[in-house]
Amino acid sequence: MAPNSIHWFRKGLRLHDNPALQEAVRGADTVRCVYFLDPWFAGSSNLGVNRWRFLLQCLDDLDSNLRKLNSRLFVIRGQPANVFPRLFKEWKITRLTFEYDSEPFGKERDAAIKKLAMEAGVEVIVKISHTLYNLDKIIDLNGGQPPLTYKRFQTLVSRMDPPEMPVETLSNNIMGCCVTPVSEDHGDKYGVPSLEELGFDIEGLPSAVWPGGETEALTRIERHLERKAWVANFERPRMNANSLLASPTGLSPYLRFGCLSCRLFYFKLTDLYRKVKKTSTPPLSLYGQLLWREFFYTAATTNPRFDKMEGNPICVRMPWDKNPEALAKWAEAKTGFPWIDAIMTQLRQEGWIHHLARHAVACFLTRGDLWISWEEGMKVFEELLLDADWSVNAGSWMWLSCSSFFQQFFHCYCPVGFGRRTDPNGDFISPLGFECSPACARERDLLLAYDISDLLPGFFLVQAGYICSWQKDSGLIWKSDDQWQCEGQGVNLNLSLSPGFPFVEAVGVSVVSQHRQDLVPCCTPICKPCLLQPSPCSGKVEHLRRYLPILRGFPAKYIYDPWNAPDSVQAAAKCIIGIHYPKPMVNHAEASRLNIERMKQIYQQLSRYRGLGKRLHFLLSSLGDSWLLYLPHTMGMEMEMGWHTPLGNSNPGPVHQVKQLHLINSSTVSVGSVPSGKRSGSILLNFDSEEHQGPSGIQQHQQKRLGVVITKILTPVTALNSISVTSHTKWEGTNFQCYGYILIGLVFVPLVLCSGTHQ
Amino acid sequence: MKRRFSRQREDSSSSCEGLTDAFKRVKPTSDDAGEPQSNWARVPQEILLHIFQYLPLLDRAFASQVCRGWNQAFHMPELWRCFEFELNQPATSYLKATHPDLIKQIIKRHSNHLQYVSFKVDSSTESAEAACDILSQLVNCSLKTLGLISTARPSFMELPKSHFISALTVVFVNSKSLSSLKIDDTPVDDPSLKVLVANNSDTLKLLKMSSCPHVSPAGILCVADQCHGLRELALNYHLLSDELLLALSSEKHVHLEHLRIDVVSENPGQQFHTIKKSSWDAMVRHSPKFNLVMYFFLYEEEFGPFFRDEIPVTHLYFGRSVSKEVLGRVGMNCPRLVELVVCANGLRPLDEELIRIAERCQQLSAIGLGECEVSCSAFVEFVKMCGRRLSQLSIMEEVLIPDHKYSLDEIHWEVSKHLGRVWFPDMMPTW
Repeated sequence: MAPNSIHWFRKGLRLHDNPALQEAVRGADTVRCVYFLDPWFAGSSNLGVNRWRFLLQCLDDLDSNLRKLNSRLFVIRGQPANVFPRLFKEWKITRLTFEYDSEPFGKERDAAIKKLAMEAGVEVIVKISHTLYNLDKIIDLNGGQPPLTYKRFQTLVSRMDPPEMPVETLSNNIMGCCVTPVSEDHGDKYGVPSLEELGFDIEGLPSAVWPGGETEALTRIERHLERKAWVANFERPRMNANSLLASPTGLSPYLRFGCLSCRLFYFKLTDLYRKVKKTSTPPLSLYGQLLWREFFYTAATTNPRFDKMEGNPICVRMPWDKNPEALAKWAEAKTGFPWIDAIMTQLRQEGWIHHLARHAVACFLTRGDLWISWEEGMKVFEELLLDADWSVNAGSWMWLSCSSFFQQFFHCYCPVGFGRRTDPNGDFISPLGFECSPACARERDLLLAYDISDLLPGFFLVQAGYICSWQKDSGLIWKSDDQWQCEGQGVNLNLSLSPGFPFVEAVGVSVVSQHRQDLVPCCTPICKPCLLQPSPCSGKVEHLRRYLPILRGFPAKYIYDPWNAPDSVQAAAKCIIGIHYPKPMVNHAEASRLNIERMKQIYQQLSRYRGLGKRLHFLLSSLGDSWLLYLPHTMGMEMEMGWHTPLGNSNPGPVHQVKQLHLINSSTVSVGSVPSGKRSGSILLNFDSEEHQGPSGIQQHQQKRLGVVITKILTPVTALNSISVTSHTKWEGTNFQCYGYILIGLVFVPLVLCSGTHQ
Repeated sequence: MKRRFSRQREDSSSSCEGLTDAFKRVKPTSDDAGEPQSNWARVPQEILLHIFQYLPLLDRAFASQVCRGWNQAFHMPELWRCFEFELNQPATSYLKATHPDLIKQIIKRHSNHLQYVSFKVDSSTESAEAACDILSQLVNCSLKTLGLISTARPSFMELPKSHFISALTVVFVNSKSLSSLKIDDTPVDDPSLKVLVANNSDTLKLLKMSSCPHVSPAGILCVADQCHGLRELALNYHLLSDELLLALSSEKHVHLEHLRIDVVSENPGQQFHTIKKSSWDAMVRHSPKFNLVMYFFLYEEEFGPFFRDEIPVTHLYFGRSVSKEVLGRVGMNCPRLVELVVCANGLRPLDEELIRIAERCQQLSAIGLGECEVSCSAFVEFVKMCGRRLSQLSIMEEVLIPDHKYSLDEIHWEVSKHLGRVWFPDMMPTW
């Protein structure tokens, strides 16, 4: 008897490159694609309305694509564990397929369902397609530990075979004689619910800036690649004011929900690169966005406490402040810093912000200004950010707050300066009117000639009508020729707008460059006056563009720090700071001074010993603080301590007896072999557990808990005779480079250093 | 050893909670062992002490319940010289606090053993108050080091000044051999520093008091005049004066090792005083090896008085945006520069400035660049000029602007070549 299958959709909301779905169909009599949605959960969950809308749009799209194959999507109200047994019986199911979920709670849930299915005699087929690689293989290759640095991760990945090719899109051909029994009342029983049904108030809800669904995702990827091909630049695009805005080529939410296969993206990028560059091996950096995602998935897959500070072995315990009022101000865009507030408004309204904008607000909340736990910020992103995935969200927050992954902490984003540098005019916050009224846009052959010959060479981006491109059916924006849309370098740039395109109707035209402050004065007088008139009917445009309309009247000079504007300017702008817009909630200079100090303290304490501390990988770690020298760690045992010597000093100064070296494991202990004339010391490293000798001399070992700081030990080791313990790995060489992890308040691997004599 | 591995280590000093819990876990192991227990009970005290000092407090507490001998060892003074009080409130901190009973016990039984004491205090005033309460009970001990550390916001500043001062002076008066004192962000004032000087002038070696607004230049001058053994000092720029530098470089004074100055702007457009070149020269003559560490948190327009003359600064940290012009002056006037961190700069590339710094700052061995721009070829030139002495090179990927000579992929090879080790720019996650 041919099997009756269920394909269970969770992520991976697509018909292309869906190997598990293919398995469901293969040789089957019937197939039913199900998605579980718990309406009770929907109302109470902390996902924001944008995320729900995106999901429902994905489901709608999936349903309509399945209809084309004479099938339907079954949206099931309830919990999988409760409903599956009934479905198995009712539909006489013999096969269950789903996409592998690498996240710890997903794995747990899937294991339970697998067990249930086995008990019901249902065969279960699971396929990996949400990530490029089998994450367990990466971990195996790293000796059983997830890599903790992105560099290390890249090294591992470069040693692996390329990802598997995407499988064919589900089609009538593949369906063969497999059918989906659909009842008359399918819509009532299994239809995709609306937002209202889930209990959301959609009164006044603006239309989606990011429409969900596989169809949209596939349009976008084409657009994305066309744009890349045209620019022919595969490096990370440089930041400018336009990158802050939702782009019609953005893909991250689609990858998150699996509307777009990461493997499809991977191979399309590879093909394009080969075509354009005529070389066969693209660099890893080409896949940056995909690999970062993969990196965080790998780090999280074996760590159920990845989203917590307490009990999370890779997270540094920081003495974050608990401050609900400050947190609320941040989340509700009332910090008094327009740059931060505009980003948070954009996040709440649209569900997406640029990654540098994420860095800005995350840094502000955590280590930069407010000193509030990254977990709180992560929860807000979880609610609002379309592409927030458990692993990627938590991982990025740990990264940005310098709680893990060996981030440099010397630099905090300034909530004033960062914005000003990125977008000197403050268009992101509240643009000056570069809009044309519908009347002028309809003029034939409207021509704009910007003389930009005086400008510094650089990268200019001229973009027309980006807002309207968001309206349905106007996704043409990247498809048109360079008549009206151009990107590139040049001394003279001609831009003509043809009214033939629908989007011109209510368009904003803006010319943006990295050197915007230079551009504006010289192009303003040249522009046809009609273009500079504020548009009387661009309500929609304003709504989308002006995240903080209240600040519209401020000149660019003060847009990022309006509290510094003289009273007369505030009065002219019809916005008095402290009344119409809040005063800044912190003094950034003071806060960042304090916080840098706190970070230093923590990392110093992690390094614990001066001998290591001053070689700590982090800049600043030693900058002017020998406080810890005076605190002998080993109680009662006076350590012989010298005086502080600065990092980087060629003379290492007195070396003290280090009694204990805390070195955890790791994925990246490597021996640099720069021989020198100095006396060689031998180092015996011992770890309490199994060791592997990895390829290329990488020392790895099995240990569940990992520390978090990279230390670089160069000189101290020359001063030590040996680090001894029981293992039998012996490294010779004086210049011993060791990237190891030092503890994080949890577990040390203590290595006892014997008599530290200094030559 | 195995057990320490697999178990989550409670923070050593934090609490005795979970004591019973851990007992449940430990007991079965000692039962299954079934070995003759004789040897363990007879471990000499010195050995036991040696072992104990490697154990966190909680583990020692467990061990102390094993037998009388171990219990005695638990209370040995050597194990109580160093203690870190963690004072946190559940409403303001995620971290556990030192258990009140433990605090009581320490004050009762071990306060005379304490020598190295620090207080870590969260953002609540209650915690700062609790720290002061403990301080004022430390009457029969002689501390060598004392640190008051605010872990989140400067909560000592919230206390009534008199309350804080009276607690602090208890320590100053009773401890006659304080050598290190870390009291950043506290309301310490001139009279209390006088008490410190009166009692500890012979022993004081380190004084960290950044952002103590109640201290005046005269107050710190009094410390420098009297404490000739002072080797490390941290303070804000407004306390720095020519007199202070001259006092620190007087003949009677030991060589200064470390001077840290925080230059913080309280309100935009603030005017800063200048320090004479001759005062700095006197400093360098007296302490040729001293580190001068300066942290700047200024608005760009406030840099006017700085780096006009030669200054013996060794470590420079610019926490906010700093202009190309100021960095140009740094290149001209900071011959002793060892470490430079520039968090942000305008949009124009720092090419000439970096090259000048490489040329003129012969000691430079560490550099960090955040939101700045440097062209790839200028950066390579910079690295080439500094060569292997650049032991720390932390550059955000965004900083490097590809040009006709180098792309981003090439630069990592080129720089690695000049450094003699593998180098990569710092990368940020793209989401």
